Amino acid sequence: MRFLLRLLLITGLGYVAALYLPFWSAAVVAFVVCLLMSRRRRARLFGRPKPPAFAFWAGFFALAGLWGGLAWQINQQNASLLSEKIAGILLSAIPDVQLPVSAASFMILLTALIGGLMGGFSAMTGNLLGEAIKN
Amino acid sequence: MRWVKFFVSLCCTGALMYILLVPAPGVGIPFAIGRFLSPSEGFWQNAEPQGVRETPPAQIPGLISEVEIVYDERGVPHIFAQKLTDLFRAQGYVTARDRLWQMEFQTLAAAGRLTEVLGRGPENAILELDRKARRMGMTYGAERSLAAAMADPEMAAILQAYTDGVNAYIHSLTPDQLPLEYKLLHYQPEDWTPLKGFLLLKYIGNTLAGGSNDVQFTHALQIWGPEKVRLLYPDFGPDDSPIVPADTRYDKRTALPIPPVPPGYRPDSLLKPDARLALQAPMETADPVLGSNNWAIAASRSSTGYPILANDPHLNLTLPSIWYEMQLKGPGMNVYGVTVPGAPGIQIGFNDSIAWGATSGAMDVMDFFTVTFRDASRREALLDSQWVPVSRRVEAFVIKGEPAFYDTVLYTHAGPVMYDETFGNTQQPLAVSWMGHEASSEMTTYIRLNQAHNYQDYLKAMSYYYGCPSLAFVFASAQGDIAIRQQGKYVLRWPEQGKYVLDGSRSDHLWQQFIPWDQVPAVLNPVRGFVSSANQHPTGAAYPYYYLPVGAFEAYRGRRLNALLAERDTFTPEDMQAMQLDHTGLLAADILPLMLRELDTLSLTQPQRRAWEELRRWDYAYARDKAAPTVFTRWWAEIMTTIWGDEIKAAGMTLRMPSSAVTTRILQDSVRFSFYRTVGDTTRTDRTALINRTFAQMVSKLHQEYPDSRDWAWARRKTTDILHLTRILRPLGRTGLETDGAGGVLNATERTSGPSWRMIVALGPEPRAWAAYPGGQTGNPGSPAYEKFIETWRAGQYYELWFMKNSADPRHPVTSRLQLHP
Repeated sequence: MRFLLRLLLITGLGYVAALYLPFWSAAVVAFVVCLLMSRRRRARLFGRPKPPAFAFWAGFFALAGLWGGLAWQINQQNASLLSEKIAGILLSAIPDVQLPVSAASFMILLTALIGGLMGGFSAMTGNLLGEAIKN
Repeated sequence: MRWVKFFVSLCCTGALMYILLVPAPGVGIPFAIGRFLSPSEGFWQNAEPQGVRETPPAQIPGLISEVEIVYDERGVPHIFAQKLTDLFRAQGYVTARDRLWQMEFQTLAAAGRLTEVLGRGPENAILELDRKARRMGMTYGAERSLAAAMADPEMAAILQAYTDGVNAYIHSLTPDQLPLEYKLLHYQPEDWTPLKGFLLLKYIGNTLAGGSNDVQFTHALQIWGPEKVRLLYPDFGPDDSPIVPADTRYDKRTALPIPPVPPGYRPDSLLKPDARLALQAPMETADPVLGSNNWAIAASRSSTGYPILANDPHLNLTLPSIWYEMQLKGPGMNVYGVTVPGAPGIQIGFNDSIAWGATSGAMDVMDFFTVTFRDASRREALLDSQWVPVSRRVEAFVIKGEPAFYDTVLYTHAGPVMYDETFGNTQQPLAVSWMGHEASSEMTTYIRLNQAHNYQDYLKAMSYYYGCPSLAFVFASAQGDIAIRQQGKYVLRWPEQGKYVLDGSRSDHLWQQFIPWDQVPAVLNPVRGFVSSANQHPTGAAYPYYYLPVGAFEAYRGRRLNALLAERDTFTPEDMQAMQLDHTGLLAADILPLMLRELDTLSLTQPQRRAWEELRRWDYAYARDKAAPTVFTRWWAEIMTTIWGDEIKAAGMTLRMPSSAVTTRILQDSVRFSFYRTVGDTTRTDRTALINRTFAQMVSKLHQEYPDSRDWAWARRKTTDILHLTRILRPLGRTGLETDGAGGVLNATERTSGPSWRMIVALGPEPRAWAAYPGGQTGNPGSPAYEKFIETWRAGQYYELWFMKNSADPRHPVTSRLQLHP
């Protein structure tokens, strides 16, 4: 439940923040949400406390989903025109590279991965700070 | 323990954010990964949806009244303004909206600042390119031209308005709206300045007139002597078919006297053997593939009853294209055509009364001078018997991700020292005098042409074109006049002055006088009913002044064009299209019959027979499905290399290969010739042996590379690449196009160059025009419109241009409107 709540909060607030603020504001959102939603390890009022890994995955899936989803939508409307060119530039350093997926999917997955890593690490750090303070 | 965990996690997050926010050009990632991939700020924002672009109204500070811009279905903006400055302000804004990155990148190239965004490049390639631009004095020339233009209040107002328009767009940009290349290379646009417009003109001047053969010809003179040099590098070709009909008479009384050859002039004595430029020296000569065609036919020979004008400038083909198409309507002018993004006005086009176009005049306007310094400090140089001061300009090269590089350029009385020990590898410092250094007002010419209504206005516009590059401006008016003028500023030379390296310590070698602007080669309404140019020699030998070509004036296209124009009585606009697409090669027509006659066909191998059959049946058309153009081109290259290549290589210094026309003449005239023999080979080689041996070599290589003769098809061997302007971001270009044509034929589509804008204008009460260029209106690689016109251009088709009378002209559908408010 809390996992889902965190995930949805980070996704929603991350989306809104990026409309007005630089892209890294999504990392701050993940950090703050998980800081505020962290709890003391000993309290058992609302079920068992979750290890920091849960915060990580909440942040990861939130921003991977957000970035991947937005990229997917843009790519659909653009008919993969630009994503294929960018993939060509990024992969030009590696000779004879064979992608297991289409160039457009590669760019969307890469975007999702980078967003996910940013969200995951920020969320985990926020969670750990909260735990450290509250204990 | 909990704090430790927190700090470890914090460090990991910090490290990750560092990687995402800071570019690492050292490992090949010039951008910040996080920002670049972010859907809200990064490259995804440049991926435009298929379909129509929205154009919300914009506010531009400084506008006097409202401006309306109508975009048609091809993305061409038609600008309607009430005030002249508003018109150019809007032009700057609209051009930047589609082509900002390109505009700025080309000025960086002109100013020698590419290292700031591209780094020093592999083996310092980019740094050397920048050093060349600075040592040539490109910025110096642009600064002088700007000062001259600013002295004219009307031009100053236009330049300032255009600049403000570009800046209004730059300042409106949010990070997510930055053009893609800024994001990829991780830098920001600077504010636009009037100087940048002049840097662009110098950039074009450098492309068309930034070459010289002085060093190569001097070397040739030293090795082969004057007689051979005159044979190998003649000033006139055997069949020049000049721009001004050869039988034109000139009034010798109004011509300025030709200066005498200075006493004691010995062109072969100036470069000492140890001063010779090493082979790898970055000497530039004009690319013979670049050039252009233009012509106009008189009303009497036109199916429409009014003159028809055609122009196709051949340039390096790039994406974004060098041209941007637009219509400008303001007080006293309504003009349509193409502009070089960054320069105000229309450079090639038409208005309601006239049409004009340009080809490169291919004149040598760059001379090299030896410099004698007083001592190692190089603060004074010898001129006649005096020591004159040398000024210096310290050039700082900001290199991306590295400390700056400094180069001191010495400015002598003969121009900046371009080559010395540190650049070009010569012990003999060479200063360069280049017409691009002169203060000139080419920009005024274009504005006046945009506003012209008749021949007198055209002539007035031409009077401002006293600079470089030399251009042959073709003209036609609805009133029925046709004209052509090879306009530019040319040195009044003594015979052969500037063909070889000159002595910078003698004032009689320096540039002293210039040919007056109104004595350049020119024709108005000639009897033959047409005017034309294709970079051939502008005049016959009767012209009173000495002209020096920048490369060799190759006459193949000019001869073909003039023959086609003389062939029939009347022409339709469709005939003009067919002529622009004509791909009959006169080099092959001149020499192939002799080559086939000399070929021993009794004992041909299978592939040799195949190649011979192709050539025997060939009509000299460089059509994409034929094998003959491939076979002939390779055979001719083999002959050229065998005749000249070994001697040039053995000489061990930079030399120019004689032209195809000269080689043809020698092969036709001489059964035996000293250059036929391969260096080091003692057997006698005559023409027959040369032709048979090169044929066998050529077929053997061709067969080895492509055993299947279907792969010999011209379009498979000569594919055309339209490279991205950076050349390094290859996926942003378009490669592997199968095209007709070749260098040296009217449809001069080569591997990386070709007709950059094919235009035909039928004048009349309501002018009609057709055109196509290999690119698209937007410079955004993420837009479907980026390459929109390429297929039309490749297939040799045309769009009819929509010349609007006013912004509510109902004859064509409007795709979108953009309103600009004060």
